[in-house]
Amino acid sequence: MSFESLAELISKDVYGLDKTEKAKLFGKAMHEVCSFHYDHCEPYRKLCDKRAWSPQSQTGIDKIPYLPTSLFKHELLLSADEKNIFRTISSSATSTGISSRVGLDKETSARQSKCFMKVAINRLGNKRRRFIVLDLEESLGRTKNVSARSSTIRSLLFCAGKTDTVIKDNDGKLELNVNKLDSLLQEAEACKEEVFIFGFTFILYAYCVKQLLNSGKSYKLNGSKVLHIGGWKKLEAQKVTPKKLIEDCCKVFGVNSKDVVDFYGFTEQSGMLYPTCEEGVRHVPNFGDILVRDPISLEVLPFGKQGLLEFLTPIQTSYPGHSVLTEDVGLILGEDNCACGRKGKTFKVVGRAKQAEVRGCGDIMAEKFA
Amino acid sequence: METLWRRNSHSKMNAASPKVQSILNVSELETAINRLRESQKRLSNFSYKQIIAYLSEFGSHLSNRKLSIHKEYPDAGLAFIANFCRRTNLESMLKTALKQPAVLDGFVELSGSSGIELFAVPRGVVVHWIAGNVPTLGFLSLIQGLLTKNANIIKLPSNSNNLMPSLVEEMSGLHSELATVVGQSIQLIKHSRTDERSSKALSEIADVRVFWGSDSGVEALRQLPSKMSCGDLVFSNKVSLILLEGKALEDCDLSKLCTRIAQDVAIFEQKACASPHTIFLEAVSDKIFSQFVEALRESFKNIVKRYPRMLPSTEERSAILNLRAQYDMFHESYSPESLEFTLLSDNEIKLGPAIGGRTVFLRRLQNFSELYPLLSEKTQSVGILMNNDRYDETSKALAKAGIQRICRLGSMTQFDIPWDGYLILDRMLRWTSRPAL
Amino acid sequence: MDVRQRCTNVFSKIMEVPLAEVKEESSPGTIESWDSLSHVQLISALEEEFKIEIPPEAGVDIEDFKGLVSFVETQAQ
Repeated sequence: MSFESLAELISKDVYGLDKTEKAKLFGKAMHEVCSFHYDHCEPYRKLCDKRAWSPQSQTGIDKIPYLPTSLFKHELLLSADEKNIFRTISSSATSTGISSRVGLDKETSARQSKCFMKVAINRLGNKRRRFIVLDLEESLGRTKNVSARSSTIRSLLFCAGKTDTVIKDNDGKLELNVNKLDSLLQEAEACKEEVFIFGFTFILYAYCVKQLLNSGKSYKLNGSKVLHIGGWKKLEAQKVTPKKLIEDCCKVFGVNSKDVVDFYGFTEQSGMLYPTCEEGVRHVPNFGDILVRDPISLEVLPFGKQGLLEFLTPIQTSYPGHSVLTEDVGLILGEDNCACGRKGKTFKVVGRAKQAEVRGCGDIMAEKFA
Repeated sequence: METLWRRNSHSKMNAASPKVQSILNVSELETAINRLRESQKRLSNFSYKQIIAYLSEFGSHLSNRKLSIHKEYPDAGLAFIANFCRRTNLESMLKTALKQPAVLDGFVELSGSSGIELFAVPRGVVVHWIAGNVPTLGFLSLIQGLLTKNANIIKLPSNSNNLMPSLVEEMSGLHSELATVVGQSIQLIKHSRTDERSSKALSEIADVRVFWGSDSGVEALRQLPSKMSCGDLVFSNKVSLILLEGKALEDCDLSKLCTRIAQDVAIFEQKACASPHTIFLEAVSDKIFSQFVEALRESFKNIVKRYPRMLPSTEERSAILNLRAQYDMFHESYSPESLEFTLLSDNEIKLGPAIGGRTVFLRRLQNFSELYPLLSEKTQSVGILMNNDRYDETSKALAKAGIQRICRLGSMTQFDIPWDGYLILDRMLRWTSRPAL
Repeated sequence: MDVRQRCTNVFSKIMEVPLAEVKEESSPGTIESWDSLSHVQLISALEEEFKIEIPPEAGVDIEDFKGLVSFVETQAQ
């Protein structure tokens, strides 16, 4: 099936459409894809029917029935023939120990890759650079069933010239290969080469930055970028804030604060990437949208109010991941008004919803279904 | 309708009150125990009527909303405790458990016995291990320890707030000799979970051990060494349910019934062991089922005024949204857009899962007997609507299957005795007999 | 003094509302001071006044002042 509006949307400059220009095109593309999912994914259709929504409904995107991220841990929902699914992506293990899974056909995979690359190039530049990956060698492997970690690392390697990994496995424990990193960074410094240092947020800080700080080592890598992605939970527990991480990266690597880029994304909408811009905020590209919902009433909140983040995008057609309500809390900061020059909504992710658990003596099993 | 929401206040963590003591060394424990035993002897000189009068006075005192404890702990179920301490309630409990409460004061010839008199003597020291953030039940357990004239040691969880110390302070602060003696016969203790030495010391002192907690927590505590004569009362995690007979449903006032059900679910925010999570409807027509669902939805919407919805935890919300989506896809969901309540229905014959957050599973079956294989001692309470002709047979079958409480709807979470299969008070006593003169 | 009048007196005192404001349809929804705490006080006071026992389950059926009086009348006989 051809998704013409979707194709047109993706073809535009990734942050080039303002609110008015985007509304029509995005609305059309979402309608195209929602109708497709309605017609091809029976469980999703049943849900839509129960929630009194159909492709004929003349309603806004806020009325499109969303799926919670937790659902993807329990069901592999498909809008494509299973025989056409050539890869499933699973998320990293959660507190429940159950991973989310999504199934990709070649079309969706290609589209996701394209969108991912467009966003990455917009932020990182259109030049291949050496990638120094703060992870194990096997994270670069290629298999049918990939973890989200491997998938993300590999996805960014299209920007890579040479690639080196600098984390080793020492009897099941991760360890920084200090000498190798030192050698690579000294070389880059000497040649004034602009490199990308990339890792998961916790690994970047705990296994690399902190060690360099402790050893007193630092480098002058002006023009290089530090890229990181992943949860902040462990670092929050260690009282490392985003501000501190940026400061310490600048200290040890000698990069500009604008060149420390925090990527946000999630398995259920692979292909959608939200890096922090030079102003430190995240932008929604043309082919996405964001809503914030009240954590109790689930009603849509206005700009500036914190709530649960819902992301919409028509780019995946092999599974109904077009409207996903996450467990992340955040707020929309503005639209078409960022100093970095990019158009579109800007938002901030605050973290996971925090609420003290009140236990009783009933045998409650919510965490098994979360 | 605007939903009324409230924040749970149970997460207040204050510094330990002076009334809460950590066991520092063995000699301090010995001193405390000796003091407790002396106080217990003085307590046993009061009559049971005097103790009831004192507890009833405490209940009246506690129901005064001007006390600062109400401001500090608005969601702690203080009204529940005050209600529990009503004279008539305490008398009723004693009658149920002991038949003739006068056995607490001396030898009494029980009616129907052939010249034998019984005296129910306090066992000595009751040690209560209180669960997590549910001090209410622990306090009720303490009251029963006092009613039976025992000294009481309350082992508080290491992360508990100051509610229990505050309650004990209110209790022992009343102006009477008995209040003073009561205060001296209660010891609150806190120590870390990993402090095995202290756990062991407490367990070895106990004449009665009362455990409130999760299965795994309680199991670990039960393994602690104890006196051979020590009796245990175990209150671990349970689930509860509701049974509605089709015929009885047709004849009843649905709106009233559903208000009661909503109340049973909403009190304690469905976290009590007696809170129902599943409603089984037997032999109901589609029409009656629809009417019931509508009435139940309406009741849940209306009940928020009286029982404002507590903010859901992340896990709860995640589980609810997940299940709602699953049920919209594969079964039936009758839930509003907000998280006020969640009603889910499928064709399975199973219990729960117990999710909380006013999540209730509605299941239809042909005959209640289909359920019996699912029931065990882990299923505590059944709220029941049934015509009289089947009541005896069904309730006996439920009891044999493991159910400990069969209740009228609307009062499922009322603490009464027996609880979890125990009459409780009798276990805190040593029964001594003698021939009548 | 009949049962209703005695109930009204007790109710008025506990809920701190004037006697004239105590009506048949008075309920937790219409009397602001009628919450779970004052309800406990009310039950205790009625038990003392009439020397009766009001079991917990009875509370389930008492939705308004009329229901309250009706219950007490039955028990007090």
